[in-house]
Amino acid sequence: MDKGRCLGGGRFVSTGERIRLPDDVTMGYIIEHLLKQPLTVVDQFHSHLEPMKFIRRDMIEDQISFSYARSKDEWNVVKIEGFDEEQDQNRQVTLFAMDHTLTSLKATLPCRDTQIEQLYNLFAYKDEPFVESVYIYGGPSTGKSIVVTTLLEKLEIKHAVVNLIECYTSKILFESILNKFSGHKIDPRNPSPYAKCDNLMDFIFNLQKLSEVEDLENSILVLDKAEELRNMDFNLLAGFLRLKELSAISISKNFVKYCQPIINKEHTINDSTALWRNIAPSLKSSLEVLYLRVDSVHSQKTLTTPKENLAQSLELPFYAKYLLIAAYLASYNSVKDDKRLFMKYHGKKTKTKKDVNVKNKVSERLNTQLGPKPFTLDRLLAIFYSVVDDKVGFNNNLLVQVSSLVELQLLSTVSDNCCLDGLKYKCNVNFDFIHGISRMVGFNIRKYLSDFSHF
Amino acid sequence: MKGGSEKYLKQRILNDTKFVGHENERKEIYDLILRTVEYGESNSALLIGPRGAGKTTLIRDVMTELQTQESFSNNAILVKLHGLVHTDDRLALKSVTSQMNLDNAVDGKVFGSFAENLAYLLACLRTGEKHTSKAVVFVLEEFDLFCSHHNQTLLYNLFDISQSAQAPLCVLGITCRLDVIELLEKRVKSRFSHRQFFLFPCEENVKTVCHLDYALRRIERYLYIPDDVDIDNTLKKQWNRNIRNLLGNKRFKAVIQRLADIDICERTLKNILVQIISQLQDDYLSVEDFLEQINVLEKDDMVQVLQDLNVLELCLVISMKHHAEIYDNQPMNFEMILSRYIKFANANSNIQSVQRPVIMKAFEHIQNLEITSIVSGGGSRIQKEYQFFKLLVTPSQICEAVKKSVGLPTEVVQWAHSSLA
Repeated sequence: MDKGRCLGGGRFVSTGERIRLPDDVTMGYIIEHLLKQPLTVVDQFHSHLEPMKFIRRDMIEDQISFSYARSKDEWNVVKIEGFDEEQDQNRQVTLFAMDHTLTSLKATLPCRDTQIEQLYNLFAYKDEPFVESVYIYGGPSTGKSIVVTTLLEKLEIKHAVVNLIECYTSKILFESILNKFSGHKIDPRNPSPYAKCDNLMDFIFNLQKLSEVEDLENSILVLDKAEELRNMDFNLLAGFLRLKELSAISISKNFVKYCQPIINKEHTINDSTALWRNIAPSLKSSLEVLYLRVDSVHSQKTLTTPKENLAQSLELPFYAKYLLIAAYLASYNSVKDDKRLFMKYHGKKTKTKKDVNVKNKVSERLNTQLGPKPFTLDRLLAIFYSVVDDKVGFNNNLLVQVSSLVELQLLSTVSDNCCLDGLKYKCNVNFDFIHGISRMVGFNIRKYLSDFSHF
Repeated sequence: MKGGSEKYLKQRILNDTKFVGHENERKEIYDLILRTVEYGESNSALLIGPRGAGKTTLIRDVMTELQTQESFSNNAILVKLHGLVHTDDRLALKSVTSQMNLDNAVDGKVFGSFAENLAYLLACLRTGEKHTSKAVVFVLEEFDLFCSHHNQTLLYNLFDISQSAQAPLCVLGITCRLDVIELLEKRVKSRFSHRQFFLFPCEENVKTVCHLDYALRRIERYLYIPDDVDIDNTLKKQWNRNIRNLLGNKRFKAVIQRLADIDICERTLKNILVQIISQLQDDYLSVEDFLEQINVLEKDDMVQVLQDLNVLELCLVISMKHHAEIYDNQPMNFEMILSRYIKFANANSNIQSVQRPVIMKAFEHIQNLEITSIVSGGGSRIQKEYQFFKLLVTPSQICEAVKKSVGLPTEVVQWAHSSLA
């Protein structure tokens, strides 16, 4: 470049060479020192040469520009909380996000961008009026509450969060809302609320009174688990929706939880099929734990004792097992089939047209699917004696087994306990369980169930 | 954009208190209240119209206009009661007392009956002759809910006083129930003046009611920025031109027609407009903005909830659907659904079998989402597996959710669409 033509015929360059300092300093030297014109100092611009850590947190918002530098292993950067030091070493992203609450919200709550944006647009600008109510819904643990509360906290909007499960009556609900809005702390020695509210009228009155003391303009009421409102007084849901400056919240959506099995699976799919087969059982059991959402300590135990062994692990006396089988048979067979199933000479059964129709019908409505039916003690004992091969004495010891089965909750009483005569029972165990039990005593239960023994 | 226009528009949509249209009804109500105050006439009237028709706005508009007149504000007391807030007559009377500023006068007095109490309150307002007494304007919102109060004492007393000219009293009931007269007891009904005003969203003097025109006019009213608003002129001009273009656009009209076909309620329109305005990026409204919001409005929430289910849960819902189709919506229980699902899982080797407790958990999750509801009867003693329930979603909703969710196994999709179980 032709130095002479652009800067005072080469005099700028020669001045710079004389004082042996960079161009910007030369410029300042010419203006201030040679031309004697004072320069205006603007504090809000910052160079990488000055230590950034001296810019205090409360000064940051007034500055025009920042800079950063790195000497050896040390960073000369603005000291500010925000994004991870690893991700954002020169703190530029954090500084950018500072006046962009939206960006920081999106960073802390991933996968909820559209929802955050919608809520932000509705509530971020405090000089604009708020909408009357917002309804947020979605599956359990999908981040509805966290999105709403962090958003309101970041935006510094006055809000009260109440959970409808905790506040199960309208009185508790009203009082806790007022407590939260007024910032009233309940003294443990003298637990009295901010104001007593028995009904909606009192609540509105107290809310108006409170708004005279404190500025409740543009404040937000968050009603968590709002579906419970349906079970409360009829006027609550409609009443809350009418209150201005209030917003209702209910249920949104989750991905984090359901993503986990997919991630696990993908690891193995990339490997060979042999490895897949190898890992499948353990993966399956861990998936089951995940589905059931039990905590890990508890799940370890269930893994060691698979469900099928439950029937075997239950130590029952021999006759009690037979009694349980008899109870199951009594519960899942109808009385009119008893004669055919349990008597040796029940006579020949002629096939009627009705029977054929029943058999041809798709076997959907099986007795085993409709649940246990109640039966009397007499019927239980009769079936018990016909099922057991050897002779059993009818005595106290036998009868006590029945009540111990009830005690173990394998049977349950249906009728009241007061009438000793016509006591009725129901069998509580399912088919898999009773199948295990009957296998242990060498008894073919399918033969005696009208669902399975087709006639 | 933050040129102030967004704030202005939001203010206008959300805090809109101006009443437009229905000049005849407005005039009559205005005269009615005025006559009570000026001449001491007692009146009663009912204002009936669907939700969002502007009943409350009308009353509020009339009252604000009346209250600017000094003779009115000195001679009349406005008492507002709301059916949702004042759920019984005791609360209503308490509120009436405090709204009349008579708390001190009543303090400590014991009254034999409700009528005595109310008569005392009105007597307190009297200073001598009939026409010197202060007039009271009662506005009863959600009037139908007052009808369910015990013996309709409040209504009886109010109408009785207005009938027998004890004190100048104007009772205005606001309700959305057309059959509200039938709810009144005979003795209450006979004391009511049977003056009714009907408010419908579209003006009835237009012979052929055109919902589209009506909706377009309202949109223009909300979005058009008048000249006297303090906003940068070029911005305002540009915005108004934009709105005018939009209102003339054929595609825009088609979109609004879609909205008008479903819902012409003021509130729905306001909600949509607020959403659009708050999402405004660069001072420009397009048809797409409206289209998007109307798609959101038409979207079925239940389909979304179904889409959020995992494959196992969706399989259970599909088997419920088949069961409901085969047995003509008879109630079903878990065991039936389980056996149907297992049949399907066994027939398709690709479907991983899972343990019974896992299926049970999935089933409980479905129940918590209220996709099914338990049929009452049988009591709580029945075990969970055998409790009967009904499916609350329609087969078409399930099919749509299956169609929309990605990554479902092909077998499941085929099973959902097959008519055979």
